[in-house]
Amino acid sequence: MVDNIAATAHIALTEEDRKKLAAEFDPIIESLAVTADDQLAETVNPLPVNNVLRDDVVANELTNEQALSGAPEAQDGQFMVPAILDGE
Amino acid sequence: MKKALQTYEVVLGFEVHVELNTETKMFSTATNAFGDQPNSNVTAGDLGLPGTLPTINAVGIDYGIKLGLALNCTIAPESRFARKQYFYPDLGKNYQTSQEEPAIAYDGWVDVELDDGEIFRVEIERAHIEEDAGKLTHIGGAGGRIHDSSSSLVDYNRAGVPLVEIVSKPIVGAGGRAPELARAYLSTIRDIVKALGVSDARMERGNIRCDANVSLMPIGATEFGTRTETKNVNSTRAVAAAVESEIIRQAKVLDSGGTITQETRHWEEESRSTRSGRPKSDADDYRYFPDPDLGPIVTDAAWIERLRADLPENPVQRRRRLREEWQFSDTEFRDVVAAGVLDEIEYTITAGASPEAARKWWMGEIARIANERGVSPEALGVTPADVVEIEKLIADKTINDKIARQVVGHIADGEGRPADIVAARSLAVVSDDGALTAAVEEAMAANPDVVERIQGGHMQAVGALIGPVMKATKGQADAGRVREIILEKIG
Amino acid sequence: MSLTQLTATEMAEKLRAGETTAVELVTAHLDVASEAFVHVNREDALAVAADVDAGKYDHPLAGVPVVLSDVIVTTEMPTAAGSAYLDGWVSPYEATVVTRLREAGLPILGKTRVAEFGMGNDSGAHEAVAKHQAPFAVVSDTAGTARHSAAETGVVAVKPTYGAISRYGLVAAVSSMDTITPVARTTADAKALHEILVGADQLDPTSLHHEWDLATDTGVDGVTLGITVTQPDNVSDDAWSAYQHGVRALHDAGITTMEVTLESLDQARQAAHIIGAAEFSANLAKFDGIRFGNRVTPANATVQDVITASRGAGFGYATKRRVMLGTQMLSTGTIESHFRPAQRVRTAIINDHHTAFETVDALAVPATTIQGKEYESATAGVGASLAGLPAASVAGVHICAPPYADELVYRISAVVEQTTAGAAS
Repeated sequence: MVDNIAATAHIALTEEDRKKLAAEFDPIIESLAVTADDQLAETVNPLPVNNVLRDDVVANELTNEQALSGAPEAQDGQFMVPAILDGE
Repeated sequence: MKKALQTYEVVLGFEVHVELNTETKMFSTATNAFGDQPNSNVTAGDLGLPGTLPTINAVGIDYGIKLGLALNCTIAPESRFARKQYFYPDLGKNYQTSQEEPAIAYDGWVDVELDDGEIFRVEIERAHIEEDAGKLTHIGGAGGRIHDSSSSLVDYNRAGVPLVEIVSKPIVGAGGRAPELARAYLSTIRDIVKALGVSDARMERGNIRCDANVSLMPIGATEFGTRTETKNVNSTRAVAAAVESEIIRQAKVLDSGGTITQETRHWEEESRSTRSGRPKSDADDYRYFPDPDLGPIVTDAAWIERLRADLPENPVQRRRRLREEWQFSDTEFRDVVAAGVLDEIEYTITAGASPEAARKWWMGEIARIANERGVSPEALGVTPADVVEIEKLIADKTINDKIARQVVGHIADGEGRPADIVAARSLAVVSDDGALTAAVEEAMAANPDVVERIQGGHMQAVGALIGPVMKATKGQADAGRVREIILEKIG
Repeated sequence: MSLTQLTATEMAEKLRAGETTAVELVTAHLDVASEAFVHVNREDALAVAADVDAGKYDHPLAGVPVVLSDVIVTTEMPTAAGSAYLDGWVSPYEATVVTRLREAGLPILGKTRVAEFGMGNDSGAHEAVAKHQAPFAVVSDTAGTARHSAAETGVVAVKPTYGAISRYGLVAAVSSMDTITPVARTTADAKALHEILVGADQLDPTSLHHEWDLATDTGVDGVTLGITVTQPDNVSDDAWSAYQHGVRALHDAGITTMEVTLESLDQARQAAHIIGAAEFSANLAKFDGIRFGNRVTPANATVQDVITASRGAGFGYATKRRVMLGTQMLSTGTIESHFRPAQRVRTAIINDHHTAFETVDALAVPATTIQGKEYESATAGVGASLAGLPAASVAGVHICAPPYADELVYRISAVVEQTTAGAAS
């Protein structure tokens, strides 16, 4: 179970992480159960404002250099990643 | 396919992604443009940098609603955006901002006209607004294919470009016309978004992308068979071929007692067949949840009616009307539609040309030059007003047909409007008798044998004198007047 | 008296009176900077101070130094948000609150230590303010942590109404609860900082467009306050005594009190952990080793392996656990059993507060609750975080008020802090 969730979350676990999580994970989920009135709406945001829309005007673009400034690996103005094997 | 249809009923379904042609992206203020330097049309948010927040493009919402209205949908009184989560490097945030339930528009329909004029109604389940992903380029392997590449490069310029995804309900009853329906449905969607002006609608550029779902069930059955989803079929021709190929493939599998695997498939143009992709289950868990950063979109009648008032005529109805008004034959009209110059012809007629003349130019010389230069006719730079002006110059006998065709080429070269070009290049037809007489006399002196034959009664030989005269006047002579002068001289 | 012993307001007065300079103020604080700082911004802070001394700024607080919690992105300093994943990263863009501080001419002394992604009580900002290494600080408050830490360290934290201060450039933990929060040694200083930061921002879609008026100072006479009369299980005797002390001060100042209990708050802890973990997991998905941060590339790795390894190496245990819990909360089955019910509990909590505010102007509870294991504990202020309310933690009292009533929270806070006047050292 913990391994499945770690895989979905894309998180590598150490042996120690795995041990701790195996003991903690399910009890935490269980302890967090709530009971709620089904008639109540689901709050997404405490102070929602309707129709917060902006004008269709270009602003705040980064230069290519700024965009790549934090890239672990880049080539030809693009972000570089290892091969994708499970791609479409 | 015929054989397959004796045993099976075809069920189709389409998911069509339409890229909107807003100035900026759906949730960021970066430029929405094609073909620029990689990673230059991006904000920090498009790269998913920590601390960034999305903002909703008002025009994107208007376009989504317009498209929903054109598809006869109900517009959601309240809808919102949701995060569709999966890890893939072309998504800057590793979730796609999309819509779950309800979509901005749902429960609609669109009438699709088949080749023989029959109308087939396709029910629309929903049209929702979402964002496009970035672009991956696979390098290091042979031929840039994903399977043998060692690395990929990621460009986020397209990440965040507004999309509307139009999802049809299952379509039953198309039978042997399923491929034709697929093609007609996709053309109809393209025509609608183009007429609305919400997308550039260039399929070859991926502005419109279609996923085609196909399943078969034994005739008389009520439960749908297992479906496959053929991804990113990006031309009206390909979607018809992909549907046909998938019907045949599935029928073969079922006939031999096999089962269809629920999966995504890919259309391969070279082999004209679909290839297996990844297995896909209905249980794929994208962990959708409402985006807490983005508030609800709440529509009211005033907003919707303002957009509805802006809607163009439905393309199917419009085509029927225009065909009657213009009196084109079915073939002529179909060719015009296929050439994509319906709008241009309509504007040209509105500007004062006859339907026949408008058709002649847009399907003739303009189409020819456009084809030669690899652009679409409307992008050549010749306007409906130019066509009207050229027609007028011909009617005035200022130019002849041949010169007129040259003028079209000059307009396409950006030399200006027709009358300016005729003046600047001195293209006006020479009808000054003095100049023509001199040219005729010269031609007669140079071709005494021809003169002799004409005098001998061989009237067709006149042409052999007109040629040199036209040449001498650089094609600007009024050929009728030249013939008259020759006959006067010899006569 | 050392310059660092002054309040921010006093520093501003001395600057205007010509009795000190901004360079002196900045230098005095930098001289005592401790391990509360993860980055000291010496040169830039001194340069801004020199510009202030040269008369280039006219904001009343120009020249008064400030520190930033390291969850707020800056272009001239790195931002790590307490995470090894981000260590060394410098943002190409700047948070709106940083822009506002710069425009007002407040020298930024540096960035302060923070629990990973701000999810925890450890806060270098509180420490720096309490130890007079800065007069005030800009931090984030997600589920009451900044207010809890304020109670622990004897400083004041005032969380504004959700959306009052732009979140643009705050490394997101829980989008629907994160709030930029001023921390100071006095209510007046927190308010002065709040006034610089507050206001609509088109870069933050949850930003409120509201005419904020924090200037009135009419006292609390006639205000009705909902209070707790029975010592809760998770409140120590000392904490209870400090609370009662504060309530008495409010009585003395003319406040009317009545007992108010909100039943829905019994599930606030669970709702906040469920919603918090869920949003956290999605907000952290972008930390994938591709566009920013530290990548780990195992041998023969595919891109998916790189993502998994980078997150595994970059995140601490508590972050991994929270991301995985959040991933579970949004998965088929659990989204129905936990997440959606938690969103409904949140609605009940909001509704309960609204009902209470029909009778009382504000609510006060003990600010310090006993913190046990993380998922078994909650801060006193978690309800205000879930409901988006303005709230203060001051001298052992947690105060919250209806949305937009930030000014009332400051007024009440100012009265409570008189009980401990001069106590913070």
